[in-house]
Amino acid sequence: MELTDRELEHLERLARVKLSGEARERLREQLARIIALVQKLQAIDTTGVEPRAHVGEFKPELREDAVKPCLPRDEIIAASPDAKYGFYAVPPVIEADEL
Amino acid sequence: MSELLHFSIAELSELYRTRRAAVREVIQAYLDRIAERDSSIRAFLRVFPEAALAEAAACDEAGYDGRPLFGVPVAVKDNICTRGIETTAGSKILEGYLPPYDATVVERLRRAGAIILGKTNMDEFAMGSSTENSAYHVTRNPWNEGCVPGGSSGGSAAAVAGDLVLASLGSDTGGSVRQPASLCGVVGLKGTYGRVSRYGLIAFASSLDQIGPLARDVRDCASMMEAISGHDPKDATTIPEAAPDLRAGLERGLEGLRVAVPRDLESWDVDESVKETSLATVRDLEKDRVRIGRVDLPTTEVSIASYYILANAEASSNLARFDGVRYGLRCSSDSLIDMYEETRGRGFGEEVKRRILLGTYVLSAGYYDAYYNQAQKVKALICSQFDEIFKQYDLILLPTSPTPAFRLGERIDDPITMYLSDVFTTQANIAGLPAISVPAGLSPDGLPIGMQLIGGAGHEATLMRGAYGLERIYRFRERFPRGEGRGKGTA
Repeated sequence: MELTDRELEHLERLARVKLSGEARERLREQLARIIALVQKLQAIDTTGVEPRAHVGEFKPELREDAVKPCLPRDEIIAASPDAKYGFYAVPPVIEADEL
Repeated sequence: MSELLHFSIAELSELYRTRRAAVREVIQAYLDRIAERDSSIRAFLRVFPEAALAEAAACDEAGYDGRPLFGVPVAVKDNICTRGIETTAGSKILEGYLPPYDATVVERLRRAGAIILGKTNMDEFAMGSSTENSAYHVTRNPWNEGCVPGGSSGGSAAAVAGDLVLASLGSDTGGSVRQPASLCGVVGLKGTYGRVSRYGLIAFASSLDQIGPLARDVRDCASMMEAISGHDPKDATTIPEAAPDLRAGLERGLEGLRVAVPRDLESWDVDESVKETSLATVRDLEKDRVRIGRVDLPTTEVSIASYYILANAEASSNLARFDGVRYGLRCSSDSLIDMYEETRGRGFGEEVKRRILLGTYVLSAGYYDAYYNQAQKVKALICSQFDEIFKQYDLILLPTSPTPAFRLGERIDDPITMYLSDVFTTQANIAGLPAISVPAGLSPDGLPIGMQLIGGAGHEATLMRGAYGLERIYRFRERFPRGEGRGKGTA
């Protein structure tokens, strides 16, 4: 099993994780070995088997869609590395010349 | 070592009730023990002496009120949210995070009267089997400080084994309560999927995660489990039932229970001491006239492969929330996408990145059917295989871990060998079954060996009875009492 540099780059983009230096090379090698390990599952005959997401006999119940008290907004936002005017502050998403 | 540290939960309650001990004395004794031993074990990420003593003083003032965990010192794994108290899940990306709420299990422990002494170390985001993946420090096994305590709840297991607390909470996604319990010589339980609320547990793999207790013996473990179990409207996956009574039937032990043993146990590729302990257990059960039969379990190769697909796919999705916007670390950058990539690249440790990338791979376009969908089909097969076994048996007996505790650093550079520490534990998570590890004996090197029981879904009471029966056979704590001599190198 090979994991090419381009494939890894694609994964990094999808996962929004930047790897660098020798750690990146090490991860590429290890990932290839782990993928080879989990690939063994494909040899199992699952013809006619329905995939199963949930275990147990009961169905999770749906709650009533009613307004209930929740945590105060300011307490939640307080955990953010950057907040302004009661909102999360982030770097620009759209550049001025794109507007 | 203060004799106050020797008492079980039931014994401590009796001492409080009859006013022969004050909660403050007991909590102080444990805090002293932590001060003395945790500089080398390092089970804790944080300890709260003042808060604990203040709660103890309040308990003494109000007097014993019969609550099941009144004045019991406990520890909580650091992926369980504690209001206003730093909760990191062992990761740098959450350094300094102060949750605005308590997890349901924390609320329930407090409501039952327990006093939380601190938050315990863990593999980052519960990903690992040795606690060496903590972004903060390694934790040492109290039986031999050159060895790992197991993981990912290694801090919670070492805290109980080192007598730093009476009991603790861990979380178990693929064995993360049972495997460290086995390596540290304590009892560790994972309930049926949905038995314990995950509200306030930092999610790893939502179809597998369960919070579970670790304790010195089966009865204490049952008391902890009763306190945290039961339906919670804040977690829609909890079973809509009250917490079952787990202590009432304990004395009956293995009486009348039918126990299944893996057919090919004799040829399993495990440490010789683990094999001997397993076979000796089978002989002891036969001698006690327990009905034993041989069965085929899902192969370990299959369960490990499907586990690593399901767990990591779900992890890649769950961990998307750590984006430098809402909590913890942010690496500054001019654009949003770069900020995400930098923050996550620097904030996550290597094992976490490896798993996020694997999870992303198996979910990505073109691979979904071959990996994730196939793993869910295999999950269905594993579930029906267990269903068949539990038509004829009450419990399955097998080792918890293929080896006793390994040396610090021994497996950390080889993720696949590390993953194989979980070969006997992931199946119960995949099928959502309750399972427990009970300390059985010591290896020739003086390291604990645990045996595992798996029960039918919803049958924790039967599981605990079986575990109590095993405990009476092994008499682990009588044969290997705690003491100052232990834990300083070779046992």
